[in-house]
Amino acid sequence: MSNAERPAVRPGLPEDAHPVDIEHIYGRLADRGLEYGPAFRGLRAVWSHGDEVYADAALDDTSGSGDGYLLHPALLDAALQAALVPGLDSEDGTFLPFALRGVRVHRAGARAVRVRTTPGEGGVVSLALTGDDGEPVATVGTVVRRPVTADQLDATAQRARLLRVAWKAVTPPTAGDTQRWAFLGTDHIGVTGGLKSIGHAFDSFPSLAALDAALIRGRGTPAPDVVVASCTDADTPVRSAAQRALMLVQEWLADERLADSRLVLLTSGAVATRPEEDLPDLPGAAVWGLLRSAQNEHPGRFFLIDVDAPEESGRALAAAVASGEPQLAVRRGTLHRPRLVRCPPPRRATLIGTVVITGGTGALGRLVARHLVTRHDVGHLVLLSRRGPDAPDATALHGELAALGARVDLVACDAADRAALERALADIPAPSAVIHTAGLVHDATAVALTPRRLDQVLRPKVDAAFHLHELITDPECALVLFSSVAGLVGNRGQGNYAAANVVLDALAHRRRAGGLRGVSLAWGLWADGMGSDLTDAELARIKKAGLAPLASDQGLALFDAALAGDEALLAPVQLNEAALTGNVPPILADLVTAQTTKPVATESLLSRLADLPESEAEAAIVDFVLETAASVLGFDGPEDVDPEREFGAVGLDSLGNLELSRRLSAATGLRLPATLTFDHPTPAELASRLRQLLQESDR
Amino acid sequence: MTQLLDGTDRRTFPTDEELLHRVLTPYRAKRCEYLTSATVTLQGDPLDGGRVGGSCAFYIPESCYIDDTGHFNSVEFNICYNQMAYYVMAKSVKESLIEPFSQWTLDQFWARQLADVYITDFRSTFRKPMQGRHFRGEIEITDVAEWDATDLRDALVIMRTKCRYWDEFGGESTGEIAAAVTNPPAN
Repeated sequence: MSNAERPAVRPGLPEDAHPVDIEHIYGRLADRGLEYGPAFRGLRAVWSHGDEVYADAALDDTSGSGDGYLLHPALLDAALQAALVPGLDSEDGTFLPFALRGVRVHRAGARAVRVRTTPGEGGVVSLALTGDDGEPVATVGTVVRRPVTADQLDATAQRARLLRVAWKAVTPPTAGDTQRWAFLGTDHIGVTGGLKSIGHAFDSFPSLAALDAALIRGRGTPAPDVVVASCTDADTPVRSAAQRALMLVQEWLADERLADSRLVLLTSGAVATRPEEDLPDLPGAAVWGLLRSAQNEHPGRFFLIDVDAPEESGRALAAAVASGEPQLAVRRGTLHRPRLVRCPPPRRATLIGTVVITGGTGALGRLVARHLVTRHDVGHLVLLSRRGPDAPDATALHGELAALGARVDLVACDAADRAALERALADIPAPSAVIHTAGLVHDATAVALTPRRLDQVLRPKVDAAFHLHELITDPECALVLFSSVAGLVGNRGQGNYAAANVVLDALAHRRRAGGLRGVSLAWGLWADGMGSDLTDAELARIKKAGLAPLASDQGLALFDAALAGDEALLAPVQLNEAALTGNVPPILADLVTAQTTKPVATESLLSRLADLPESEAEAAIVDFVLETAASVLGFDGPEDVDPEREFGAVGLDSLGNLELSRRLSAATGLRLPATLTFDHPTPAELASRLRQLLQESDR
Repeated sequence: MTQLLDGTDRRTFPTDEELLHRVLTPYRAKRCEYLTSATVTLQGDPLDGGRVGGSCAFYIPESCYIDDTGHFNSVEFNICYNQMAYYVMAKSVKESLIEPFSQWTLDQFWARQLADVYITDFRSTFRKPMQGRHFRGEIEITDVAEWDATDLRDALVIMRTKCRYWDEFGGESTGEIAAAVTNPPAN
């Protein structure tokens, strides 16, 4: 009902109160990223009177009965919306209710209320909710409001789901290695020299047939405890390297004599442990993906080790095997294991001009295409797919995108066919980005996978990505590769898909090492993509592993953030925080309840400051705030936190805010308010405030 | 050879007497040519979920290795399987039905038929004894995996199959068999 239909006056309303248009209120809030659905559009009429606001609010029919509540949350929310009206037209950002104090419910079960907001000291307001009879329904002593920026609202949508891989140092075991080793196959990467140089004994079998013959000859003698095989060198085609590794895995699982033998697959340069590291062994990356799945299907049987200097890695290799870690990289003699860590969401980037999308008529391709037209400044879309204009609903897609103002070319092109891809790209103006979304799944466990099933999945993802990498040499053009977190986690039954995606991740590193732009996005499952076909059981398994499907709007918000990132590999995922309890794939282990149980910098800030000259106190406090914030946010380290960037924008939610306040209080002995990070929204400002408070408490 | 089309993606090949005769040659001296007819069917695209199968008839006048047991036993199950499998492979070579056999010549197949085809996994289940001398059987190739040669292992083709036999008296047996072909031609 609009204001015009309501009586001009109602009991308790000052005569000179001005009606405020409700559509204007919700429109203005929506402009700032606060879109209220029908059930939460509870304001029915609003009047302003100086600093006061009067409003009528009611539940709509879809909100159900108010009987189950002392005060229905949608009705309270509508009353709080009234409190936002005074700042609505200011340009200082959007104010949101931040803290409520002195909430009292006088009468339960209301479906409609009259609201009056009255300003108090320091920008707070109080609320009085009454029934039609004028009797009190509820009162709120003070509503503390705080401004939020669009950046913060975006970050809330992301919920810190942008992850990256951090390779963390592992302490090598101290116990000596007494196991019997064997080296199997050709030493493609030259690691046996390293083993010999440290005097490590090992048998050598040039082939599986030779190993088999030795096992037959030595009837009764157990197979070697550890069998090491080098993966093929960087010149081997990806599919050959993957096939060879798959063959080894199947032989291992089929031969009961090897049931107690650990198979260690060695690569060199198949993973990048630091952003600037080149990654020459792309075929080895496929082996990593494939083996991660095999590891999850058969824990304790398979091990992956990547070495930087094979000839010098004998001692580190022995330590790596003795550690029992399933995946390790040896860098300068130190062992590192991969862990997904939360990463600060970058600021949003905008694509312009022409963008090419492979898999452009697929579910994800369509979502991204629409998003590029509506939320970016892309005026020209080239959608490649094998069937092009003949793909299902392609005409409707074309019409929809054209109606949004974009020029759209639907091109029939198999991106895995290099000549066809070259022709398709030659016909279009220089794109600002090429987004490779094409791909398919053909699931099978390691035991059931065949070379053909490997090829079927590698071809559309990897072949096409290699062609794109070779054909797109414009340093300004971003190559965005849609990968999957399945490659990092090693989803069971998806060894081929994992292999393909880890190659994409590696290719992005390779590209950046060559001075070109590229990012691989290791997506979690999209609810509207492949996730839409999942059974309840499959979904339950994914959730149990600590992940959950991404809604389209979340996925697209993460896409925008990841585009602006300066990383070769980012994992935009929805975490199922409730399931992150410890029993998760190893790569997710450091995300486990990072906000509550991770070792805290419990050292008192005061004791740290006591040993420092005054001139260094400021920097020490900033460092302390950064360390504590990184710990609460689950980031890898304080360098991931920008001292000048707002906490909300890097994913600190209300629980995180409470945790940060609690830790800072414990470390300083100060009693800090819950509004701390809102009143001092950047680490630098917060540190400055802490210093001030510490100085005051000294006096 | 006549080829019957009974659907858009289904091709059927009736018994190829000359080919059958050739396939059974190694069995002739031992008097155990049990396979009497075989219709081969290709359904769909063999590179994308397509299947090759054979629908066969058998006649065992007397066992080639033991006195009459009165029922179809596991040795005969195996011999009949081999004959079906050889025939379907040979037909796949001749008519280019399924990779990698479609890349082979028949001479290459004959050279490997006995020396290079190994059963690697054999499971047979006898649901109800089969007593008839005449009975039917079918085979389906569910997957063919081509493994390239590497330093670790020579090239290998692994064929996974299912088979079933039944007679007019309600007897039935089934099996799942994997066979490896070593030394595949590098065409």
